[in-house]
Amino acid sequence: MKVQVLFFGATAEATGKREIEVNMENGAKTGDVFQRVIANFPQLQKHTLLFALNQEYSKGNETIKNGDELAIFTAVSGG
Amino acid sequence: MAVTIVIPTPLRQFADGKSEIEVEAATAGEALKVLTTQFADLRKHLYNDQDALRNFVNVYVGDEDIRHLDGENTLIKDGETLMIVPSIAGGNVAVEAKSESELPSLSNEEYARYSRHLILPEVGLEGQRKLKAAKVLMIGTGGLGSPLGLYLAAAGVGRIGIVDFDIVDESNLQRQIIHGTKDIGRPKIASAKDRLEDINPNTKIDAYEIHLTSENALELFREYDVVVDGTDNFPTRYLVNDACILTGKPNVYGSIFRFEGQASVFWAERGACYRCLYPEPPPPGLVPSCAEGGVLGVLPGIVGTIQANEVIKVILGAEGILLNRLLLFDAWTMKFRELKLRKDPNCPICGTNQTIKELIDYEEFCGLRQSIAQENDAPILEEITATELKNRLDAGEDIQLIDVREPHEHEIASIREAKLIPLGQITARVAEIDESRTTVVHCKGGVRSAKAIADLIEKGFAGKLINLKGGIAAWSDEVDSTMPKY
Repeated sequence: MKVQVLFFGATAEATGKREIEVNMENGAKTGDVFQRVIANFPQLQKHTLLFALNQEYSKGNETIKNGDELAIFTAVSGG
Repeated sequence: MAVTIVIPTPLRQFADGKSEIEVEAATAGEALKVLTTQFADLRKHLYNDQDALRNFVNVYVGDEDIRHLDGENTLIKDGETLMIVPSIAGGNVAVEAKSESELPSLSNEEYARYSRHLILPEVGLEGQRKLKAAKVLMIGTGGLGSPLGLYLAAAGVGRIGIVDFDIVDESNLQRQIIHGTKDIGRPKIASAKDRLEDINPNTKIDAYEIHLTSENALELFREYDVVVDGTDNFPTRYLVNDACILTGKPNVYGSIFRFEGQASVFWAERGACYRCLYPEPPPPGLVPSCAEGGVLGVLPGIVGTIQANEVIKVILGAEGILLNRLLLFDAWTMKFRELKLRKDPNCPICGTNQTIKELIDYEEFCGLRQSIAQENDAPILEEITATELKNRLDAGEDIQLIDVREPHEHEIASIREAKLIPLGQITARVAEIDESRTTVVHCKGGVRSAKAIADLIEKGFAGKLINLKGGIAAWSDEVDSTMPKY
């Protein structure tokens, strides 16, 4: 099944991407997707990352389904 | 099913001083019924006259608010914990709770000035008088604070406190529209005060030319009804959040990065706080500031205006404020997204078991002191001034110059001899740097080049590496005044 992953803020900067599609096995949890993404973009490791599943703050233990949208973002401080 | 109910501190007095009570129940509702039968005094704190849970009482099973599960019908497993998280007060700002007779009246000039508000039923005369009674504290008069202050003064907020210690610089004017060209070199608060008083002489401006610190924040915040976070650094953001919680004030938050903005209303009495969203700060130095990373000038205009909008709604007691919602805005794709937030029952400052009870050292919390200490331990970075570099090049010394800025920066200004290898590519392109020659690395101001040298050393680069102190900006100041500064 396919999951849309969106990058915001410094994560978009670090990966050079705003959006990617990830293929996951049935029954995968949000945490599995995050690990897949971090494996593909190891430069994300040093960031303090936050995740949202379908526009809701995620703790990483939700079961995902085809077409879900996952956002990865960080705190930003500019003012 | 044995369930442990965690009783928050303010309610323990109604439960024989107990912090945990074990009951037998199958659902959240049943557990609460058993609890309130046992402790009748708790009942009126948790339920209203219609026997419904009061809306400021949050009940969590595990980490989940039962509102997001099956409400009072949420099933509980054996041994699970049920947590009661009450709001401490009703969650009104002082001005919102004021009765009509306590609100200031309007002059004829004010009736005319605010006429478009007065004919809006959502604001009306009462709302306008609330705005006049309101006291708002703005932290920062930069990109976010500029539009924020302008709209709050225009809207007729009675008193606005402004906190800033910075001086107006030419490079601020691309986005900080409260300041003008004539203000360059003036303290930002002086320039902002003039502009705000010009927009609305009815608004009283309190100008504080200070650094907000753990020593002065609480006393300052107590004077105001709403605090607006328009700062540009993480330590101050955590300080503003914590001081707001300790003084019971709503924190209207906004933040920007290049093309992206975030906004929310953090209000511990009614929902999530900044720490519920960001429990730990990012590692220091990882997220570039506006000065290093750039920012689209109109972006803080949009985000700061959203903050002004929310401040006004908080004062008016409007529904639909950005509570428990994080707004993410991308100016480049022109997309608004929203994330639902939840109060974290384990939050160290607004959760059930509060461990932060006073303001702390926020520089240390954000790892800044530690990184200064680490820098001191690190091998000393060899530096060269722009003047010295010029002299040595003129004397015919063999020096290779590496520019680690981005190509678009190289286009604005560059030193002729320098080879461009952006910081992000430096380790991958190490073979292009000749180890046998002396190498001077430069960027715009000297920060990225120091990072590049550290990366190269870590990669095992054996040649001599020297950092150009002050970067190409220093070159422009000391060597070539025709070179544009940016």
